[in-house]
Amino acid sequence: MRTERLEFSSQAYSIEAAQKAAYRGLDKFTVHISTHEGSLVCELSLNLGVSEEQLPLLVQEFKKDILDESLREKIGAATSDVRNLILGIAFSRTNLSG
Amino acid sequence: MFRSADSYASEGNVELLPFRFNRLLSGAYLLTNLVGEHVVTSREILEDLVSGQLNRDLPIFADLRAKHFLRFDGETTPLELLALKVRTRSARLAQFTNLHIFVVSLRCDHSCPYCQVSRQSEDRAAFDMTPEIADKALDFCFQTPNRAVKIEFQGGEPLLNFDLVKYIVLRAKEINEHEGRNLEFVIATTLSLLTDEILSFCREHKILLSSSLDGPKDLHNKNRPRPGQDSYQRFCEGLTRAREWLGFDRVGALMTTTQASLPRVREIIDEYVRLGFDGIFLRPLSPYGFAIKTKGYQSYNVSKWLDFYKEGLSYIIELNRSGVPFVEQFTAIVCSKIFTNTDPGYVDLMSPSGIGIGAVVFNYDGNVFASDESRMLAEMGDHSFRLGHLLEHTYEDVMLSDSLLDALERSFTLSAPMCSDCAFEPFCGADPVYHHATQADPVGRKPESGFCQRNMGVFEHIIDLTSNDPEVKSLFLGWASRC
Repeated sequence: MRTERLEFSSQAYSIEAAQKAAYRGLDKFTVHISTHEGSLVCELSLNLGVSEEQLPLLVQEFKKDILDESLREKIGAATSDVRNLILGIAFSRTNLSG
Repeated sequence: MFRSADSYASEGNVELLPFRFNRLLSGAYLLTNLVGEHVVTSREILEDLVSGQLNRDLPIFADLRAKHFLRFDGETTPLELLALKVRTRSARLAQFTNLHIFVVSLRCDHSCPYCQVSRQSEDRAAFDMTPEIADKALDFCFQTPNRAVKIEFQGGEPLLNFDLVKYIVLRAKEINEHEGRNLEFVIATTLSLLTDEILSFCREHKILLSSSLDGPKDLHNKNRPRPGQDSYQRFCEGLTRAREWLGFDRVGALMTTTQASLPRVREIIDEYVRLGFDGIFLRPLSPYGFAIKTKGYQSYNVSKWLDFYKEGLSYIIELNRSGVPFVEQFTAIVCSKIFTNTDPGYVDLMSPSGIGIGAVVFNYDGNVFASDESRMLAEMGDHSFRLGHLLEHTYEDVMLSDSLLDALERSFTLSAPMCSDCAFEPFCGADPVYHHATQADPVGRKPESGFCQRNMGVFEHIIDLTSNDPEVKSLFLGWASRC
């Protein structure tokens, strides 16, 4: 089974971002995630039935996904308070309590 | 006096409002806010937006501000408007369960290989609903908080137990004299057993007929075998008579896509146009019941269905351009969710899921199921979504059952893995029964989910078409407003 080892700076990417990116690809590959001397190590293994020819493309997709997940983290951190406020306003005075 | 343009100039710091994004196959990015208002843009613009570096003179800055992706410091109106829209989109939740499905008989004169439940049997006692069960089901119906109550008769072929259909309609109308609900009746029928007596009753009580047409004669008869191989002929004759008795638009038809349908989408659409229908619902097979047993479900994958759907939609757009008004109904529902702030209430695209709170099913034997698919699953021996029994359980027992509430809570898309980050989430829904049936888990792993792949494929195609072709966008906006 072909495996691809990728290293990311753990200052640039969080474990959560790597986990979410790994989840997105689970129909094609599995990812073993670990940390090593300030790096986030992701080892991609193709699922049974997925051809090795697809590996470069899947690695590329994984790199894009981890970048996207990092951006989502930034948006989440910047907007979670206001999101809760909006939902609070939306569902206040609904007579659903009690 | 109007204020000068300068008084509207943007000032102060920019603050992000909640939004999600997806990377599309084209490389562009789709951004959606809490209520599904959307923008398609580049990675560069997205990064500038998140880092606060977006040039305020760009047209997209105004677009993003108008659609509440950002606000200036201290502005409260965007929050109030977003809250109002969130509340509007969720308004239906307080008025749950509109659709009540009565399975009045499992007996059927057809033996469709993809059908989940029907029985070829003369044994009325074994497969027909009784008046006692029907009375309990009606008591249940009128406990819904919804002011609109739709009663749909399904089977098997419900016309094989038409005496009970009549009993239920008359009794429901009697109860409704003091309930005052907006009461509506539908019979899902092949039209093969229509009589003047049945049509007269349907006309008197304003009952809609919902039928099945799978395409041209040979395809329809192949998909829907019955003794004499005359399903298509009976459908056409029944359609003509039903339209004469009830009115042209009082009879609808649904199609099911089988492997044999895949190369013939244009012929199928032509058949619907020829018979005077104004639209079609290009439906895939469901992974339940006999469809799985007969290997029908595995005979094509999501990718092949998406090709079928896209070719069909392209042909329907061509028809409209040539002056033939015709709608693809699933696209219309999705467009309503993408382009308007109203939720059409389509059970498969609801979150919380539509099971139980969008529709509930009373089986012929008194069992209550969370959806039509739930009873199909039960026919395969899996009773996970059996919510109770009409002779043993109260309305509260059923609607507050763990089987229902656990599935609704666990599959809620705003907290489900991947769904909670997905820009398509405002357009999509939760389907715990599908994921239970295919992955033995009501949430399901979305990258492996046919439901997710199919819906994402449809959403992305619609976003792509409407972003690149103003004529198509105008057409789809018209469809959206019909829902």
